[in-house]
Amino acid sequence: MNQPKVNQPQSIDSSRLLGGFGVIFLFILLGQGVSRFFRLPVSGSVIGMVLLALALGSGILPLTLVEDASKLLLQHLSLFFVPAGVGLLAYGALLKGNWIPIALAIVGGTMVTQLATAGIHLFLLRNGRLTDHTEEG
Amino acid sequence: MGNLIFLTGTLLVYALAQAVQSALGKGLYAPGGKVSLRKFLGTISVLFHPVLVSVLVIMLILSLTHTPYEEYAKGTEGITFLLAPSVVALGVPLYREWKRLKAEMGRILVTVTFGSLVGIFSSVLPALFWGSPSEVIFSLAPRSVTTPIAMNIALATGGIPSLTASVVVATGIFGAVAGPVVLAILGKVEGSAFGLAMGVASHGIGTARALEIGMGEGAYAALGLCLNGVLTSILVPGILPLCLFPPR
Repeated sequence: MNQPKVNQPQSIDSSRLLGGFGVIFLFILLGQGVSRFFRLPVSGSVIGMVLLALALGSGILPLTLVEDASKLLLQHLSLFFVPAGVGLLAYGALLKGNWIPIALAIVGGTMVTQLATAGIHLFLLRNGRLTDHTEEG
Repeated sequence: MGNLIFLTGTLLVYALAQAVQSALGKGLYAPGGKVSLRKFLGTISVLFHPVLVSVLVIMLILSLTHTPYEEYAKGTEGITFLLAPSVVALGVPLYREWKRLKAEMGRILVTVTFGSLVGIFSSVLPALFWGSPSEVIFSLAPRSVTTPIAMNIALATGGIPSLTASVVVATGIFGAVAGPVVLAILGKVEGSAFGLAMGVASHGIGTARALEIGMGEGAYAALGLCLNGVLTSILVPGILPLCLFPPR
């Protein structure tokens, strides 16, 4: 096949991509280890995320090694939730009888939480800046 | 490994849903100032979140074909498996924004603590007033945090982990779709306030949505998800039983 060579995007280096995945899986293992050792209620992958940020921040791990792999994963993060979302179908029976408070929690609770979180943060941002008294409330 | 048709189907449905959303989204930039159907569809394209559309379409297909969910879940294990490395990968935007985040850490901690408490109590109060059994109440309490953490909390407090898992995902999808619209009530919400709200209230799916807006928003959301996961792990088993069922 003699197709003319198209300019490949430079950032994709397949061996670095594989290495990056290896490093990310290593941090899941590390996170799981820490979680078990200290009997933390936080899952291994969340601890792995913090450990990865720390390793990058301290310079132990070069960013170039995990950059591509993390980009690839994060670009399609939403997709990975699809099977779990379909799982709602399986628990229909569990929801029965309590579906009103559950729906209220999901819809109302989520909106209230989003508004409260953004609201207090905006409030703190405004009140942190002492020069800005005009836009409160 | 299961049947390959489920994995293939999920990928195709998702790709299609993504294409539909971006096609609708283009209507936003339709020429002319007139109100047109294209413009309207562009405005509501945010509601056609690929996760929401894919989940609904796949649910419909599974129920029409009388396929048990277990079979589908087994076939799509490969997709679900990638959740854990994706959470770890959030360490990269976290590191990238670290200098900015560190300077704001005091403020972020206050925000996330408040958001975490509102998240917990807004989850349990409706069920409490409804008179739901305590296992339902404790299944709902960790609703705002990412699935593996939430399931751990439910297990530790006497909730039903599988119920928690489905409520968590529903919360994430709803939060990701409604978030930008709901937050517009407060005016122009962007940057840190937007990212934290998405991460604290709707965990990974909200964080994915924040990442679509920008790397900075994504980093704040990842931090919100992480801190809220830790706080909720402490607050729900620690104080919720005392608040709801005080010792006599």
